[in-house]
Amino acid sequence: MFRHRLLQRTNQIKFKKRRLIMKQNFLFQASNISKYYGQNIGCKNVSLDINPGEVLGIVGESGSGKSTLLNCIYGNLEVDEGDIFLNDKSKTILNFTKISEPKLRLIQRSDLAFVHQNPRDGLRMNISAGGNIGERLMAIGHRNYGEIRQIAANWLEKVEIDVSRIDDKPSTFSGGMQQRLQIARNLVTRPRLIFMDEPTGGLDVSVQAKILDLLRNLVRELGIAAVIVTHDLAVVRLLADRIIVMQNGNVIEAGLCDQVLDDPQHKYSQLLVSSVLQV
Amino acid sequence: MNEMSKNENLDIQIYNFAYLDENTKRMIRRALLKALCIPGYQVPFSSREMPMPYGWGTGGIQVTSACLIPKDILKVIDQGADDTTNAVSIRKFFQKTANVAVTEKTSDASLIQTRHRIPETKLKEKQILVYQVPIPEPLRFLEPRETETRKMHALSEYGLMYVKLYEDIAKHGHIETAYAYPVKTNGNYVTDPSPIPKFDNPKMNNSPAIQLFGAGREQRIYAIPPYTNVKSLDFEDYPFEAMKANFKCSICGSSDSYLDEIIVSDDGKRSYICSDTDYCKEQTKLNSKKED
Amino acid sequence: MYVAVKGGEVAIDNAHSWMSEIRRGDTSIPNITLDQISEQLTLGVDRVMSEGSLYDKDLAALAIKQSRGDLIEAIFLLRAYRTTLTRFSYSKPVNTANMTCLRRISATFKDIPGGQKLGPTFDYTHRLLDFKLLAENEAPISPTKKYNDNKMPHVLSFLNQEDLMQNEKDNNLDPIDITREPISYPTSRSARLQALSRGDEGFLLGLAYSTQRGYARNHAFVGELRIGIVDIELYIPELGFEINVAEIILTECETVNQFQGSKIEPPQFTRGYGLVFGQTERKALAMALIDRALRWKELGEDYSGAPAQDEEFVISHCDNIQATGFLEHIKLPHYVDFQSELELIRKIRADAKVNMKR
Repeated sequence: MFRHRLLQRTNQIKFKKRRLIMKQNFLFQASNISKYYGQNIGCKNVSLDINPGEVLGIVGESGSGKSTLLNCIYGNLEVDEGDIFLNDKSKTILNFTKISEPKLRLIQRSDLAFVHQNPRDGLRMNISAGGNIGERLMAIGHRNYGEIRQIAANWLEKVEIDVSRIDDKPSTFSGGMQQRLQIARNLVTRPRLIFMDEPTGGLDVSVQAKILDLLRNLVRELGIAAVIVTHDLAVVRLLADRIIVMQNGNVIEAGLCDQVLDDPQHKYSQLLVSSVLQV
Repeated sequence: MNEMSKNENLDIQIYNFAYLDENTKRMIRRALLKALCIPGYQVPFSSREMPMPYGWGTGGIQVTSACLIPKDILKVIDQGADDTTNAVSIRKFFQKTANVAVTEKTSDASLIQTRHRIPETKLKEKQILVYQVPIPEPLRFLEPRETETRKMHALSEYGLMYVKLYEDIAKHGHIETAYAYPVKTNGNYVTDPSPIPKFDNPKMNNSPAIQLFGAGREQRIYAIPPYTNVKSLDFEDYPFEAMKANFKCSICGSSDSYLDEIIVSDDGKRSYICSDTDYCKEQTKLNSKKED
Repeated sequence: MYVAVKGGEVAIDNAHSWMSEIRRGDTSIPNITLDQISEQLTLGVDRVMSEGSLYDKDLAALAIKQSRGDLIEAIFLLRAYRTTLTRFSYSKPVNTANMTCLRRISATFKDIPGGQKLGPTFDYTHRLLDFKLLAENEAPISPTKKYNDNKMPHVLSFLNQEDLMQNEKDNNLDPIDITREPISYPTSRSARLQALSRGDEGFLLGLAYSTQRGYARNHAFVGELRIGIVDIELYIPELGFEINVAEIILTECETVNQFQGSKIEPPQFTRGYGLVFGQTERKALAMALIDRALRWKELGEDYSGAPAQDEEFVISHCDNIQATGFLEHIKLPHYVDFQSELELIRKIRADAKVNMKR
């Protein structure tokens, strides 16, 4: 076991040396992230950068490690190797793998947001829509009921949910509405970076289109950076500036979105792109 | 009768002053000092098994036991009254094991152990008020896990607490909590005031007395030092409101004390009396003086 | 006209003297003696000693008599007494391998060094009411030799030899004493085992059963169950060596459970462990199953959300003295809280009526 670790450690050091020196204006950077599940690889030696306002797509088939990667860089999963940096509001660079849990949770509820594939994982199902949106506001110190309610109502409007539903519980909403509510709940405090795990998975096509449209407008309007994990190339084509392609836990290709999708270099990327075109 | 008093003497000899052994008292006093230094913070302590059931005031009794000195004058109330069964039982316990003087008069007492009420008579410096606490964790019914709630306190993650208040107002137009109404102590920790009616919450704020809280089963001690800011949670536009039945005590006529409702006839007629028996007595005395 | 009932002092005294009278029952029937309880209701005494975590048959018998046979009440009496006793020393860990067994069985091997020994058990009795016991009867005499000098090494030690069994490593830390330190989560295995050993038999039984029915299923073989006498040794600093201070009866259960292994570890068997005062077989078995279920994290298994895997849930609810106290406290007066609820609900209803009229 020790030898195995040692080998990885040396690989990592070699790899680090080759890495570029950090760009000054980056928002978020992950370098050489590895995560193992027992003898299986979750993801291996993955590095990525995100600039302010930029949307990064992570694509690959299921089991390729993209969700693992997302959960690692958000701080939900402990990484086995690698570092994760956030350039926070005060321009200090924080390393997620080194900071204390309190600090991490503070960042998670101020600078970051996470949209789950299943809205049930990201919403409080027994709390009204207004309460769901208001929670993050109250967590950062809002103490005026009327104001909180007004902001919640505005956000319901933004995500095209009828404001009269403000006191209804999400369990009475359709899947698409629940997902839109989850997005509102996450964006209400204006995070700088939002992580999304298959946000349109499990929804039917017409509903998907509406949510994608909404996401595109909101992200652009608010200037929020985003990392979006999906197996659906149409989603990244619509939303992402840059993409990385993953297979078996490794990044096999990365680049500008149009570039990779129009002219894939790696065999697997070619297969992915061609399989979409065939549909 | 002779037999009885012999037995009682025996009890005093067998057990240490105020029942607990000195090492245990020292452990509890350490926890109390820590609690006073970090107002509202729940200090874990190694609660002992007491000769009365968990949930019946074992936390308060242990705190009282650790604080008692022979010259103390002890008052024990339950539901505001000195003569309710559990108050009687606890007072007897300390009379037997510590042989301290007891009183029903709030102003005479140096240490008051209470369940569910704060006396109406304003407390003074050098008085200690010991609360019996069933569930010390104000977040428990929102998040059952200890590991999680401790983190929430450490990070002041109180969003969820306010979500509950928000939901109440959205649903009923009021904050629905009537007792054990959560407070923020010294602008820092959200604290459970024990199940006192929210009518009593304002008495906790800036009180000259020392307020100690003991939860035996849950193994927690916390405290509010004298003259500490204690604020009931609320919204700016839905401020906290102390509440009581809008009647007068049918014995002393007081309209500013917390009232118990009693059913006085078979057709369900109600009457209201002071829950604080000592206060009621004092008021009655005052009234008769005025009449004289 | 009703009168508000307060003033408990007289009521309490009356209630207690009535209770004493009822405890004694019909005085034409002889008073039950402590010897009778400790000799003839041994399993009840054992349960009270184990959950009261005080090994003293006479006091346990007294507690059972005083509590009118309510074992949880008896456990409570023993606990309350125990906590007043001076803790002058901790014994050396008992060596259960040297146990003089009155019962020792293995479900994993047909024959084992030292032999299987059925001992005084209800197993294989037909559960038919024995009406012979209605009559005063002569003492039955068992023909078998009760104890022998056979060495009875732990069955699981043979699996250890092949490395098939995960070796329990000594972490060289003193075990936590949960009666002296508050439990904090996540807690150590020593604290968990202590809590389980004192825990309520019924609660543990139900939880262990749930693991068998698929809530955190991990099939357990009873590698060994042994009941017998062990020596309690105390190190006396003035003497510089240990001396025997007591002999007590313990029940020990070790289960053999499967473990899949991981990238760096080949598959191995793992152990669930139960150790309880007295002859308390059901409890020791249940404890072993729950101990094993709680080890999921350490063994890198999945958390399936089963109650028996949830350390906080199991440990904070297994103590019957805590549970019964809190449950029964709802009998205490709650006039004040109830009054505040009354007022609130009236206010809310009044507001709702006004709104409805609008």
